[in-house]
Amino acid sequence: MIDDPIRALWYLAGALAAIWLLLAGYVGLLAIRLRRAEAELEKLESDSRES
Amino acid sequence: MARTHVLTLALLLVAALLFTGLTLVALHDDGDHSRAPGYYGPRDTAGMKDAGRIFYFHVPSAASALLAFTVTLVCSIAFLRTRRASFDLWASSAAEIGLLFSSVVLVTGSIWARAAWGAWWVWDEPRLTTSLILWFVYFGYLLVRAYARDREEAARFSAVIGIVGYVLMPLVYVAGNFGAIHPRPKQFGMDPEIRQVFFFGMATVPAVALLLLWLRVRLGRLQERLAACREQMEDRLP
Repeated sequence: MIDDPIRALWYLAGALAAIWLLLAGYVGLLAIRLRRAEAELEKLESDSRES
Repeated sequence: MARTHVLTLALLLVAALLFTGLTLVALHDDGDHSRAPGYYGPRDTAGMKDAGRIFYFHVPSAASALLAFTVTLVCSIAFLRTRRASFDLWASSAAEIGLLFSSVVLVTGSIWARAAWGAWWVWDEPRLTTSLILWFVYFGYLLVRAYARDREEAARFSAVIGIVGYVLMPLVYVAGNFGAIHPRPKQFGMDPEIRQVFFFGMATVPAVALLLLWLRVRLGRLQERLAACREQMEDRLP
């Protein structure tokens, strides 16, 4: 039970911030890893064609 | 920009839009403050005010984790039977996504517990303890993969953990019936307005989880191609 509506709102804000941080953090890492892998693959394939 | 980049960005955008949609719907205030929005326990224990809305994210995240770990189970069994690397990729990617959503469940549950019970964590509550053990099992799954000697060993060991670990899943569900304070599933007793948002979340969050799973599998395939390309280059070296 919560008597103070402002405190309840803070709990909700904290939970939302945590969810968005976790998901955005994971998605950001995933995007960086995808981009790096794609760039490295393109480079290796072009090197391979040249040689 | 490469075609693959466009597809990746499009998938990320869809996932972000879906989750933003859920956030907006869950935060929508209809002006009726007489009831606790989002709380689906017995009506007499309502009174969570806005903190009750955490439920719209907490339960769908648990469903998403369940979905992801089920994919891990099915693909682990398929891998042990066929030894096809693609099953291992799907199993490990799903375990990673499941762990992500399990983390969301634990964090949001803990904040909700602080608001409802006055404590961040209650060790006597079987649902909480089994959920934490489940989280550690799948964290172990990823650790085994990271520290295995080679890819074959990683795939074999993690497949066994993916199958054995899933035994905990029904335990987590059943544990909810033995706890004293964790709300029990009573979805058909929900207010129609609460049910609408709840089922919107139940459709949206697993959809986001599936999009992320797809992206994670794409990353795995790229890494496989990269490894094959590197091997090819090394073979050519004199």
